[in-house]
Amino acid sequence: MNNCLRDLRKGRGLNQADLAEALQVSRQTIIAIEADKYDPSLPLAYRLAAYFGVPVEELFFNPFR
Amino acid sequence: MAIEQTYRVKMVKLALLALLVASAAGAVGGHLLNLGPPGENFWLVFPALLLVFAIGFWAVHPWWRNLDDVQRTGHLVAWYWGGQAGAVIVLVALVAATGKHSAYSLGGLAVFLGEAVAFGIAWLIWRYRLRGPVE
Repeated sequence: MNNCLRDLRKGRGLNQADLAEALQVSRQTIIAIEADKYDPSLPLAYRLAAYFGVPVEELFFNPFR
Repeated sequence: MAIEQTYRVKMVKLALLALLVASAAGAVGGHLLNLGPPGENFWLVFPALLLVFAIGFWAVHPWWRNLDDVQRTGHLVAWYWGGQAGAVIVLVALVAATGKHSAYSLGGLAVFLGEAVAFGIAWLIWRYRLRGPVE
């Protein structure tokens, strides 16, 4: 799923490992989501959105709208 | 940075715990098998082995529960496709090398049968757990 996770992460000055640790997930998870190779579960999508203080649809672009 | 390694360190510790207990379970299981001739005291050795390996599975559970969803999906995909492909290759090699009625081939088929039955049971449990109101 297309997303702007990389931009939000870089906006906070974080590398992928920092973000992974902050969310208690693996670095591979962040890499896979940023590369649009893996669609996260809904709970993880909400955790990511909450971390950056944005709505989920601002982070993950809804392809059906 | 101390926090930088938290998740990785936790997962490595849980994996080591799982490996340690599973290895110990394997060693105990092997010891149980050496207590008597094969087949003797089956109804004593069989449940004892199941219990030992259940403890091994139990030790893996914390590691599994703490995997994030990408990692967990990776393991599921690898076990399903990689594990099944590996098993099929070995089974076919055994059948080709020893014949379809050899003890090796029949043993391999028995493992596949057990896998198929357990797959069906697990799938039914999964379906049951996803139930909800139909409207």
